[in-house]
Amino acid sequence: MSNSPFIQLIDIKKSFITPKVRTDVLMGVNLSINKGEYLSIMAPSGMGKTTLMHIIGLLDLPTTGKYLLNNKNVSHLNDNQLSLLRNTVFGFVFQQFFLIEQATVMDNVLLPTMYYKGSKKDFSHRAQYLLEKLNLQDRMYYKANELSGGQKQRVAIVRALINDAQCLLADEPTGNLDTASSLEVMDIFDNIHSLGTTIVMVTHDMQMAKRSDRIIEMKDGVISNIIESTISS
Amino acid sequence: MVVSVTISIIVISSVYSIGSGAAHKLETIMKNFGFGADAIIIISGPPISKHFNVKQLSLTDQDADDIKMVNGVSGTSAGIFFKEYNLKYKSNIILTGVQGGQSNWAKVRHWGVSQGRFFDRNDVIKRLKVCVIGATVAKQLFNTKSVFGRFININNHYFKIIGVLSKKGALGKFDVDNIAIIPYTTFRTLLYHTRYFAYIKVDVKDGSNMNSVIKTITYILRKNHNLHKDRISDFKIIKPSQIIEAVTKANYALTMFLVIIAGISMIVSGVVIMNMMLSYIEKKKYEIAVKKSFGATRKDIIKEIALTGSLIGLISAIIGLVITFSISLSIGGLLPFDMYVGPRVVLFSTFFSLLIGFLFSLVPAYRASKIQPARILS
Repeated sequence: MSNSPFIQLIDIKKSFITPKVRTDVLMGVNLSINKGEYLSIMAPSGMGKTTLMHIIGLLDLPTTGKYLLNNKNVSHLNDNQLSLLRNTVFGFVFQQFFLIEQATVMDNVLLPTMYYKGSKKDFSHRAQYLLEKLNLQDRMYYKANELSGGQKQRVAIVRALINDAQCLLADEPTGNLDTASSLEVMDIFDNIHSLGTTIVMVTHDMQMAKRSDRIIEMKDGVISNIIESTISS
Repeated sequence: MVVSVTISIIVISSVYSIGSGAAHKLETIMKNFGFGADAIIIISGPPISKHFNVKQLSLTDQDADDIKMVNGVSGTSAGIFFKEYNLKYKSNIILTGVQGGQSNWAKVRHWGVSQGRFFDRNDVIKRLKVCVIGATVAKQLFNTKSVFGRFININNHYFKIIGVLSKKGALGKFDVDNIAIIPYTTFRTLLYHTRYFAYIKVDVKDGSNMNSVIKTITYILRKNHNLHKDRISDFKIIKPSQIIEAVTKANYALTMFLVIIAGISMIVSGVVIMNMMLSYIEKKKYEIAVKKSFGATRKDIIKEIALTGSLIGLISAIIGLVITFSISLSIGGLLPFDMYVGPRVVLFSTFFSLLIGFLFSLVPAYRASKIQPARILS
């Protein structure tokens, strides 16, 4: 595992301001994530863990503070620049899967490649390889709405990895799965981590969190506790 | 969404096709009479006079000879007419327009003979009392199949029938087969004493040079007639397009009115497209948010939505044109002409439909591009 900081959050604050009310969600988060690290974020609902995840994944920008990605300040990038980075650096796995139900597994998996701005690549071979790795080779041309919950989440994981993402961001990835499917997904995450991909996961489940290298606990918009996991490899 | 635009396309293309069909039919009929896009007709009398007046004859033999020599002219045929005459055979009478023509009269009008022959140069030079009659005259006077060699009375002069023209049919209410042609030299001698022609029909080698030929002819005639530059011409030059325009002018206003109505309905359809796409985007906001989270830029989202709108327009145009074409085939027999679904109708309908689909999807596209994934995916 490399020691150079992959992601550095310096005094990150995030507020949501409407005409009637101002909600301060993050009140000064300082966090460094190394390349290849497996990090879990835990907190009760409403403590800002999803907001933090969105900022890490460049889905949202901090109100104040600095965000360094590979030592470059990305806090003030425009929408197009953020989109480009999301396409090449990050892959997302959501609790609700968010697959396109009427599209096939292959089409869902290849979605991020439609917005790839680099030189032409044949992503279909990589898609087939990843789907085989996750035991979905027989479901390649099934529609997403014909899959079980566990299968859908596996498809979502392949989608997140299709562009060779450096960092996988998972927001409650097992929240809508049964126990067996949850364990399956966590085993997949372990495998992905062992290949060097950085993983940041939001979870309520301590058993899941214990698989990570480090657990961040949040309270009232700040990091309240950091636990170095003894179980991770 | 597709239905509303399709209906507008059907209305626009049907209206336009009916108008085009009428004009197309008229062009075909005129071409059938040798007055296609490569012909003009010069008529005696100043341009401002609406009706032919025999007292304003101005075209001479010299004019006809000079025009024949103009670069770009392939042939001329001059003629004279005065009034209608009662043609008599025994107890049968028919009121007919009698013309005096040159020997190439039938040739330049692409008008063949069903019996006998047309009179030739020799007949003209000798001022013979010979006559070629139309199919209606032959039927009315003789009611038998063969009229060749019989004699008819025109203005108390007996003319030998040497030929019968092939049947051409009606031009609107005008029966073109109710006609008789005699050598113009004979006409000038026996029916109306004049040294002028009433008209000269000119065939142009290349229709694209029409304006240049007309300019040269105008110069020659004005010179021949000693007309100073501030005097108006004593002749009219008429192109086929002017006749078609005059005939279809009345229809044009109605066509344009209906096209405007259809255009307004297209805009209404566009508003329907816009509202339905806004609703579509609301349903698909999660999908759009996921696309943005995986790297779709605002431009990518706008392109996708605008393309969807354009496709709706294109599909509507295709369906609308197929239905219009089917209508044109099924009601063809009910109209006196065919509905002409030509390239212009297809291009105009397709382009306008695409444009409406594209333009009215821009607002929904912009809205979709502004979706913030973090808000939606929380």
